[in-house]
Amino acid sequence: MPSSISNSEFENQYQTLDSGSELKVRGKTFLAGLLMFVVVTGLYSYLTRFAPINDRALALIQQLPNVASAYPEHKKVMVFGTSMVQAGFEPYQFDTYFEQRDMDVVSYNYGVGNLNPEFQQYLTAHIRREMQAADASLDLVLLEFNPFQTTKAREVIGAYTRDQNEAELRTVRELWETTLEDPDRGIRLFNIRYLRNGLSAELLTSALFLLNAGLPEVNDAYREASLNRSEMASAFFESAPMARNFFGAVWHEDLRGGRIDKRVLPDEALDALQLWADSFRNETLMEFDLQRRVVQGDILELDFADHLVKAFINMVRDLDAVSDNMEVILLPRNTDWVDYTPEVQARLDALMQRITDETGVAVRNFQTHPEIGPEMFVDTTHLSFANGIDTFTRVLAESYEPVLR
Amino acid sequence: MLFNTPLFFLFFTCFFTLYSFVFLKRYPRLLLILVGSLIFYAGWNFRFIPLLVFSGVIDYFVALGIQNAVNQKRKKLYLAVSIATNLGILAIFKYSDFAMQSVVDLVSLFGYEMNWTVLNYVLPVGISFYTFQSMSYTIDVYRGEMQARKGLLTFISALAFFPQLVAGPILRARHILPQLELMPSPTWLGAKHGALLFTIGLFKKTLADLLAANVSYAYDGAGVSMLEAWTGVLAFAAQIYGDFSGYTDMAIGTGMILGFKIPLNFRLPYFATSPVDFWRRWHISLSSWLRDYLYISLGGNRNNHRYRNIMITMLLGGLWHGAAWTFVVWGFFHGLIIVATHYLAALKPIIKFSRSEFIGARLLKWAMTFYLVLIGWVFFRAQDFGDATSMLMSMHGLTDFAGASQAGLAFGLTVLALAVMHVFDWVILKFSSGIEKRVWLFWPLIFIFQFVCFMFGAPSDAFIYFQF
Repeated sequence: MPSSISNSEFENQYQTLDSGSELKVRGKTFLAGLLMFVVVTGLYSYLTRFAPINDRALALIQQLPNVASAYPEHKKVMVFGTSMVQAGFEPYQFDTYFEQRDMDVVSYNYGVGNLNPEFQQYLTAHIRREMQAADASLDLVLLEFNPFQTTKAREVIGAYTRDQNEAELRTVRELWETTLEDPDRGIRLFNIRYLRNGLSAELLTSALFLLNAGLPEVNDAYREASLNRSEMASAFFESAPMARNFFGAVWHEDLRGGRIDKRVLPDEALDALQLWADSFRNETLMEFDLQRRVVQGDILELDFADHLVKAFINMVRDLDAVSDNMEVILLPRNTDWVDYTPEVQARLDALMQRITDETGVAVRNFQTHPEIGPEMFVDTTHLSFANGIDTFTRVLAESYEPVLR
Repeated sequence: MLFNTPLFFLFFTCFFTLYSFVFLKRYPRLLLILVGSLIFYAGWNFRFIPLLVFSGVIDYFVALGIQNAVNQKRKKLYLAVSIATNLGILAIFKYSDFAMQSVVDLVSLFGYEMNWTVLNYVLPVGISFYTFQSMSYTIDVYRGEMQARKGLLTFISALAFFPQLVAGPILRARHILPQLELMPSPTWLGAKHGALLFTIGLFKKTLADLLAANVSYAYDGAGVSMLEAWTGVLAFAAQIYGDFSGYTDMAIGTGMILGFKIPLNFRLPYFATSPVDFWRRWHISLSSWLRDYLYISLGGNRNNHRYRNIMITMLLGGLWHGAAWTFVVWGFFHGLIIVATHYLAALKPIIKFSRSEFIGARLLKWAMTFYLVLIGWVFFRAQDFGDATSMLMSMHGLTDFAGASQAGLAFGLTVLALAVMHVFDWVILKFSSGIEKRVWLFWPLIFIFQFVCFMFGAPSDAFIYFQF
């Protein structure tokens, strides 16, 4: 039976417990732990140093002071949205349209891929903050509502990118506020931002193992249809070395978030571009792309996630606060592949009405615009950079000319 | 605060530095342990710190009261105060809504209506662990198995000792108090063993998190095929094992790095060859607590109510895990299979088989036990009996849901994860000292596992056993 030991049995409560050897053990333990930490984080950092995490979003945030202060005599237009905006709107063409009508308009493409409204909110918060800090405003904001970015399926995928997006896209001050409210989460976000190159463990896991979960398997037909695509891309980039911003991660003042100024491209580059764009429009590839959108975005059924809808409404409010005119727009839909049943259409219409009711901002639907046909898409959702982008940019300019005049 | 978070890493670095190099005397170290443990607890919710301290203070003085009581009646009275306080805390925070909702449901069966406003108390993390730990002290003192300690700070520090505070193992006072009184010095080999355990625990926890998607797919979806059902059930078996044993490995490892010894809580439970054997290997600190303080108090094997005592113990053991009827059924099920094991093992035709060490017989016993454990987990994980029933039907091919295209791959990966966890545990149990002595093996092993855990993860990393 263990004996009782009271405090009084200790000769001195303040006796020094550590002998030299114990200190040595603890010192070794501490150094070993430190070394392990440095090696593990260092190697991770080295291996992920080129991880393209939110590069474009970060570039867009970085440019906001410039957007607020540059071109003070021009009317400023911002088209904000997802990769569909990124692929479907060309600022220089939009501005040229107005220039030809003696109007000084400068527009920006603020389209970023892979962000659902929960994460887009961080960008709109930046825009609002920067504009208000500079006491500036935008003359027109067109905010894209992307139906399949607002579904429950998208919300599930978002769980894997939540921490990484929050860590990268929020301000340091906001991260500190999070840390004070929830130290666990705050430290985790700082860890992602500063020790992990912005790449969270769950995002890396999903990228390596879950990216294809639930998707149809890549078969021979798919491989055959994809043949020569990389050669076509190489041909384009070889004949157009100036197309450095084609994927939009780097900001160029002359492009203002846009993809490429076709006016500077030689003819062979334009041909190569057309060939490359056409190579995407293949039955097998389209079917595969549709299945991907069904699994990852519920693109046909559109079971909306209320959490994401509310986030979108917050975005509308953010941007409405810093713009003289604002509309929510739906970008053209590839009707050959994405067809809504009357029930789905009714659900979408009701949601559009809700957005207007809750924010007072009108919604304009370009989904079935007569000038945009299925041949202008590069896949089931994105407008083609060979022809779709030009047409839609002109359609937007024509549609909003009365507002800007 | 969770062991597998950057916040814990930051906390432990600060704690270890202060503990090892600044607070070099016993009393300041005790204070540091207490303050550090409360900060650790506050990382979840500081509002419940008084409840933890309250439970400890009551039991500290109750134990002294028992020791100084002049007669048995007074001792019993003190013990009743301790048990009523601890079970009262549990009843209010953990079981009040469940109990009342059950009454409301029962009454409604007879056509009556009762109004009950759900209290929705937040369940304080670790409440089931520290109340049991605290209670075991007063019971031990009452039974004369240990003497009451003087030193409130030591007692509260033992109760709040952060490595084991929120999810066990349920440390007995007789185990942890002497260590806090002597403040043991770590050895380099002990620290290395602690680091190895922590790393393997972290690895198992990471695997468990990665399996969560398979579990959710099977349990929370519309309906699954037979293969998917088995994948889900096996994935949950692996998830809960990796999650809980991983956590306790990290707890034991953390303790060892500081110089403390915390007893083993898992010993390859899925290698068990009978339900009784399973409970000797699974959550050992809880099963031994239930055996010592409940089963034996009910009479154990000594009276003619052995089976009844087993059933009561397992039912309450089930209820300990959560305030829901599915947990009660899980406990009942385990009680039933333990009783059946005892009953069958006493039958003449079975005795030979039950004692056989022949590989075929052992494999058969293992397969039967594992199957029964998996059936039990279905009730443990399911949201309600409807879900459990549909999962059981899918497992046994009684539904005709079509499986997804990658179901086979998911099944294979799940089995692999389960096997990997057990292989590592087996290696650690058998060869850990050999590994720790070989520098060329030890450090690369630690580095690889730490690196893998740093690289991979799933969106939710909370510990399942926190909710208990």
